[in-house]
Amino acid sequence: MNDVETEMRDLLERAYPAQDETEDWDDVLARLQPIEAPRRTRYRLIATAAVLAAAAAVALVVKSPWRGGPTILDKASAALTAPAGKVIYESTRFPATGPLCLSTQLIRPNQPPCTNAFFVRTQLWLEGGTGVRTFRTLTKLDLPRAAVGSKATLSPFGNAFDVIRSRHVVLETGGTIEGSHVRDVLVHIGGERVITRYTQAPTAVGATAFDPVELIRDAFRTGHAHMEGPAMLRGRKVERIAVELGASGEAATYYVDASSFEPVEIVFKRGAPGFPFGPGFGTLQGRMALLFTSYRYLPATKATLRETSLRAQHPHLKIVCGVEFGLPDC
Amino acid sequence: MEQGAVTLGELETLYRSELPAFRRFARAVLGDSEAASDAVQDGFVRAIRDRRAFRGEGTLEAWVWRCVANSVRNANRRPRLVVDAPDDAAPDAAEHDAALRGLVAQLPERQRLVLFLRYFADLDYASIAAALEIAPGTVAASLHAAHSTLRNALEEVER
Repeated sequence: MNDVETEMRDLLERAYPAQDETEDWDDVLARLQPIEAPRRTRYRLIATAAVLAAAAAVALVVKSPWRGGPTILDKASAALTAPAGKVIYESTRFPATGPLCLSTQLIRPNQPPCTNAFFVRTQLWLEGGTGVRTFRTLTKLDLPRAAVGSKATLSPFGNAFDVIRSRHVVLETGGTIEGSHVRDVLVHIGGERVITRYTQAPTAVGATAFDPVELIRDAFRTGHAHMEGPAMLRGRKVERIAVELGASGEAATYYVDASSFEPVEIVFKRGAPGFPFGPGFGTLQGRMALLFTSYRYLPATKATLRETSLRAQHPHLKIVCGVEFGLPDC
Repeated sequence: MEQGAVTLGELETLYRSELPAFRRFARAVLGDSEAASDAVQDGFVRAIRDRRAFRGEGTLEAWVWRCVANSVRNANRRPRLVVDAPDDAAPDAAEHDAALRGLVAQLPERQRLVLFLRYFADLDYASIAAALEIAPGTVAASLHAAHSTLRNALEEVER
């Protein structure tokens, strides 16, 4: 976002202030009813068919030698396994005044060294399948006014300091990963005219810095995920899964939708410095909820594959070498 | 997991997490909290009804914004009593903000929608284009025109 846009946003935000909003999803569903009602006969037929199908399924299960079938953990794990020929699309957010502190080197005196009053929304596009895959993240940070003019470590490559020019920072990363290893990364900060490229040794930054779901996949793969049972979360039926990871004692609770097994929320509880998003965020002080607004497998079309490529989004920007973790061949 | 189709759960999650942005956008266009709330609710009703039409080509968020924006546009064409929100700002600032709201109200509808989707919904040009069913170039041109008009007019007001 350039200076004109930043100025305009500030003016509009003041002229049209935000208000406390009361959500009413039930009202949305109620408004749906009058028009949906004529379809009742069709629904009754569908319901009858569903009951018959369920009865048949029960009969099969009772007679089946492989009774039991996949567990909830199996289904939750399968729901996170991206098939080849698909693009994973993930949209997440975590709210302001969270327990993470974004480290800043404030230029003005008498300011705290970091801020926890920020709001982050992230979208991720990642090629499905195995092997070398491309990914791109688009992160929007809303920061307090006091943070403008300070320097912060915005990218997961913790040594790079970037000047915060606006309350609303757009950070894009992209590159290739192989398994949970990030091979190379491009970083673009909104408004900048260059893209910074990093290549790295195997262990510096893992895929979890870009995709927190990778933590959960890792827990499933290594047997560190355990059922805690059903629960209600903001009016939604969910299953709770406890996740314990790594020698540093990273812990989280993972909530999945009770019927579709799609991710609903991850509550990060504790971890080493930089957990879960990278070194710029310091150490988690308390619980932090990451909400999923979408988790989908999109068909791998020209358009969706383009979304996985940061370079394709900015074909005319110059690429420069990052030096912090950069290898000579960058 | 169902692929390609939008689930009710996804729409509910988007509603709960994005409601302030949807309402703020609708309130800015319509100038009335009650009408804005109604338009957003109706936008989600439309999204639920049409969810099978979502092809997954763009983001779900942009597609839902299209549903809400259409609902807000329809509401904007209905006659209604406009009640401006009370302003707690200092008198000078309040006067300036009221002037800005007045100037924004005089912009063509497309420019206003682009402006609010850019700054309140925080959408990029491609998503705004998808939400309003216009070309990305038109988004850029509308935004540029809105900026120019508002900046020139504000300079006049401040003189």
